[in-house]
Amino acid sequence: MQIAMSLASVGIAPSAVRRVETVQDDDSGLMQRVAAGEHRAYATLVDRHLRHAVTLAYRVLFDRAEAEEVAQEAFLRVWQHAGRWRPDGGASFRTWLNRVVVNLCIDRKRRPGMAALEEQPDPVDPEATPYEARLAGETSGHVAAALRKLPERQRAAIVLCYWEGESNIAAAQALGITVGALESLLVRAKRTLRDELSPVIGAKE
Amino acid sequence: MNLERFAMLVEAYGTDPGCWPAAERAAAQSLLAADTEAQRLLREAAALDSLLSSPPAAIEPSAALRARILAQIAPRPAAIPGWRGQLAEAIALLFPRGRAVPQFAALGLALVIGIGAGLADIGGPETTSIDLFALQVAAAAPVSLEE
Repeated sequence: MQIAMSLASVGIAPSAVRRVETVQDDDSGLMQRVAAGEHRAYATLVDRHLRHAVTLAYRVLFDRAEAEEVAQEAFLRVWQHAGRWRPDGGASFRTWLNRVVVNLCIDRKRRPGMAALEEQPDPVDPEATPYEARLAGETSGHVAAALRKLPERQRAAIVLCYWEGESNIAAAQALGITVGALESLLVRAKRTLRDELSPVIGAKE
Repeated sequence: MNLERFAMLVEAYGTDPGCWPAAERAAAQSLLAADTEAQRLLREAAALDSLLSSPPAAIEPSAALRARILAQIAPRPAAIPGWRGQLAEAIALLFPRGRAVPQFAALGLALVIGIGAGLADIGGPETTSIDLFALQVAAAAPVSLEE
């Protein structure tokens, strides 16, 4: 009531606001407008999901520059494929975006040259960027190192289910696999993590 | 929900019931409340889960990244023109204004080569027709004999 009154006081009918939000500004509506070539709708989608996309990519890749490249490429695909995206396909826009981001991360790791980089131990950089410094504080170095040893699909499964709070169904859709296959990926990932982190787990117990 | 499935849920999704599949959550929680073995499994899994409980902080995208993402989209190509438009485009491609001479020359050369090739080949079809005629006679002969 209070909101309605305050909206009325600035000359906006609450019903009009609700209509605009539900008809045009949900992700499906925005995607339809993006498909029609509307740049403003694209900008709204970017503003709504860029933080999530770049964070997801970072948590899978552990590299900020690469995560930004993945996010940029993912939104280019949003623009290019908006016409083919169907809201009734069973997946939300966010799940679809997750899938694009995860696939781009996995493809990136498959590229020639990346493997050699992956083999190198990560130096302890005294001039670490503020973000890496923050990461070290929040996710212990042991956990980060153990996660890096996982194959990308297993890491993506852990990230989606444990860090992004996705349901098992949404995570499976983002990975393009069944829920059963997702559980299998998670179990394998957890076994590796438990082995890698056993000294830390033992110390905690 | 049996203990085996419960162990699988905890192993895959962790100790937070909020992360368990919605369809199995209530049954798993009932089992957990009643079964000491299930409680033991949960305690065992808690150590690893606590290590996974603090993800890297979310990234605040820079203004530069946002600008790059907005700048990378080009205006959409115009809708496909109707047949008149397509014909006009084809003609414009063949005979661009001010550059008609090379196109006409190419068209003329193609015509000359085509007609020349046709004329040079006139003797050929006769030979073929004769062979074909002989074949037809041979094929028809047994039928004639039977009659």
